[in-house]
Amino acid sequence: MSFWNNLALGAEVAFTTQNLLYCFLGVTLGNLMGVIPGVGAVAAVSILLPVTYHIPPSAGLIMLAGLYYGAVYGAVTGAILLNIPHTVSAVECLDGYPMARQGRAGVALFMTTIASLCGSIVGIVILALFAPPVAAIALTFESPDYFALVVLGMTGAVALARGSPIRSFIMILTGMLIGLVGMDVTSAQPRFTFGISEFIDGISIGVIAMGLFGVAELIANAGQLRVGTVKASDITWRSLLPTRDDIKRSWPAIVRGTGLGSFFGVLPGGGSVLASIIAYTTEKQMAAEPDRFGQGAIEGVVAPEAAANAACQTSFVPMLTLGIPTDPITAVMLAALLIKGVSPGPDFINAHPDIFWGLVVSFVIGNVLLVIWHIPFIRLWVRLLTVPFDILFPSVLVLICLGVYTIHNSTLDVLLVLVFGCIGYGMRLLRFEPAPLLIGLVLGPLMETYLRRSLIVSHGNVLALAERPISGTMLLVSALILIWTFRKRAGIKVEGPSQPNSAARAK
Amino acid sequence: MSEIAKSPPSAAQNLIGGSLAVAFGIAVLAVASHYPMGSLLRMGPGFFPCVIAVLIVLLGLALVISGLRSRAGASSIKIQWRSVLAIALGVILFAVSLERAGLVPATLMLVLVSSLAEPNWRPHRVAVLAVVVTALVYLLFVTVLQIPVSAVSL
Repeated sequence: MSFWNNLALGAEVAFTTQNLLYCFLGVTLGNLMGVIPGVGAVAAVSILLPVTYHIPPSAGLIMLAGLYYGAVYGAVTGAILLNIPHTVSAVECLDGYPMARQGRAGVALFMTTIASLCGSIVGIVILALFAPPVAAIALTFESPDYFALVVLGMTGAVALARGSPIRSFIMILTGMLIGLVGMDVTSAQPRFTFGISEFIDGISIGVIAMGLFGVAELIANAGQLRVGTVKASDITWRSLLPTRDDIKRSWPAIVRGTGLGSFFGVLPGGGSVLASIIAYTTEKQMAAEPDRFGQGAIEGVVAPEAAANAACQTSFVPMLTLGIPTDPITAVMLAALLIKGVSPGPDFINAHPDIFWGLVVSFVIGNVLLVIWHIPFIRLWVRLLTVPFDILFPSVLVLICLGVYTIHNSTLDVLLVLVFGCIGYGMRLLRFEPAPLLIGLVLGPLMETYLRRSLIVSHGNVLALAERPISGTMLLVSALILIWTFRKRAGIKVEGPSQPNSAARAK
Repeated sequence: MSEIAKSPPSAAQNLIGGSLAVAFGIAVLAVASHYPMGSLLRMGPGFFPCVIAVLIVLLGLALVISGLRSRAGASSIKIQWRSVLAIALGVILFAVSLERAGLVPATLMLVLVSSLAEPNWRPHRVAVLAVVVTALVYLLFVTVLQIPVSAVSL
């Protein structure tokens, strides 16, 4: 089938009433949760996870993906108007909020929407062009290669994670252990179940994600977040229009951001957060007058936004073709697909061309929907930001608790989400990032399975793992990455955005 | 997220975090060592978890050592007990009462109790919020999604 036939198939799938509806639902709810302070993309995807159990896999994936990029779009609104640092949009605060204070919020919102659209479209094109050949290469992989790939994914996540590599390593390993909870498929031995029958099937990733990202965030922000004031009437039609100077400064930044984002989205441990930070640092370094950054430089807003959205789309390449999640959100989506009996991997595109191409086309539809939400209807979202946090957080908590309950209709899961929420809060206090844990959760069982299979094939010879050219190269690269990361000690020291958050967090 | 991006972790954060990691690793080892280890040819269910647990212990020790070495960064760890307790109590009450008392009382309690995390708790505002949220949740989860929970069962 040619490329255009595939697109036609995708359009056929994506334009069914049901899938259009789920796409709309996904991007709209994602945007909503992105705008709401203290929720964010991971929590958004997890809360809606139970809904996907009742709908076909293509609709479920379209909706979850919509939640993801919808939340990335939405988060920037809060960043610009109220200086709310979301995970995906922390760097957009640095120049977005100063722009808003100079009365240029409208321009910032308009240009970030354009930047998001550009980044997304390029990301989608890359996904459509490169996913099939990557899958074709991956089809030649055998168990040792997969084992090496998972190791590479793990080291990449350690090397690229924010903060100290030792900490992210501990987190990823902890995630792997939690992923092993339940019945061991090979030996039928229940592991770490402590005699609790609900644990036999393992702990749902939705429970863990909602605890670590949702409940932990609420605990940390409840009673702390003081949202400033913003008036919807400040954002007029006229205020959206950029000046000629804005456009001249923005477009090269958007192009660079898109390029960086597309690249970092594919890397394990990369994803949109890292992409946006790197895009910001790059803009600052390349700028003729770096002093403008932090004072409302439009390049510092559009480049990270383009990067985040491009990365968001390209992160689907490794997830769908290799079955390797690169960030916590794709980890949750991967788990959702597995539950539906669809396993992403090299066979995925051939076995389910309707799901893959339907998803690609739905990305285009979803992005157009988001532009519509963000340009004509921007005031609606601005108004949402005026809802005080003391009203939002109990409402979000109710959603989380009921969302968790509906996964298995089990109140034990509700208690577990609290346990993981407290653990997540403790991790925040001790400066452990929860993102690598979620990646490890998916990688752990995969790694064990491939290791086991490889060792059976090689008759227990560990060295055979590195003998194949593909696995050998990947293991060597992983080793080099690890050495490089630990020698640098602090990992890649991305110039941490020191956040001026006086408005968002009052002491 | 803001505090994470700032200065490197303090000595106390390294010490406590590292010790917890070591303790966690040892606990996992204690449990996993009871599972059959198998051989390299046929890995038993205990093999992989034990390897990971040993790695966690080693990495935890590394954190402890770096915590002992540096005296830098005296950032104290401040737990917001009010938020932790209010949210924990709210969720526990919700979990206990959802299937026994029904969705409506459970949700009302969750909103009322968890909102105590806010230092200036305003009863009227919270009461209105609880009623509105409960009504919406009832519509969404019972009427639309039809989860097997009764609204009120006494």
